[in-house]
Amino acid sequence: MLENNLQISIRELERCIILDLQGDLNIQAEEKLLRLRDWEKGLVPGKNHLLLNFTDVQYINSYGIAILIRLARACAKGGCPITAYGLTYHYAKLLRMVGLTNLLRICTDQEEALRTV
Amino acid sequence: MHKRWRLDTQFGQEKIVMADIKQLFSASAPFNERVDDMMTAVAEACLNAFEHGNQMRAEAHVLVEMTGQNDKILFRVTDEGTGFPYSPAMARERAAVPAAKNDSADRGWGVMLINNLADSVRTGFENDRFFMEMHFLLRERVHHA
Repeated sequence: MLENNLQISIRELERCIILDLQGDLNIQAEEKLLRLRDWEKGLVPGKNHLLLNFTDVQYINSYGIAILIRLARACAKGGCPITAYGLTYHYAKLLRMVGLTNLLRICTDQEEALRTV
Repeated sequence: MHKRWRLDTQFGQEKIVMADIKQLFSASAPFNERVDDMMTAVAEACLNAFEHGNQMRAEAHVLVEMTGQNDKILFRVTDEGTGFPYSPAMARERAAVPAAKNDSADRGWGVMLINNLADSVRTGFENDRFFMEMHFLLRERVHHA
């Protein structure tokens, strides 16, 4: 129960890239998420929109929130909008509390998120 | 209702308390959101205690105590450190800064979350041990985030 390290699967769709996140978004996720690529350089031409799928993320703490802030800032520098979906009501509330919605959009599910691309 | 946990100073230990809180209050369906609030606030207090209180020293422990009466729940998280200056005003000021405009976004979100999620927070010392106390009312609450 204590160890549920974040796993990331990448899907490339026509106009965006989706990161399917699974596990906990905590201090151990820093290396995995922020070092996945050079986010400040943007994504792939024509697919420069990042979708984060939180459907299988059970735990987000303040370290995870700080990681998301850093990711969102880096992506903003790279001209890459982010949409998050699959968050529980509670974790969506926490992201709004810290002001992350200034940097990323929150949608309910993938269908709604894809409409933002 | 009274329960206590003695945690090792190690990230992830806070999830033991979170799981127990969820189980203890699972029958309180109308108050699920407050249960989530309690779980996050207590977890963040534990993380603060591990890192800032106990400085991640393996031999130090964190004590979590829960007492409940009717719809009032109190959590006290005690560490072996020297404490930190907490004031609701400081936490509110942190909360007022949008993440997008704050250059020190890596730090301080835990205390801000605790302040926003608990109905009241106080810190103090007892027997030379620093504690953070969080009060929760198990009723629906309007968030202004």
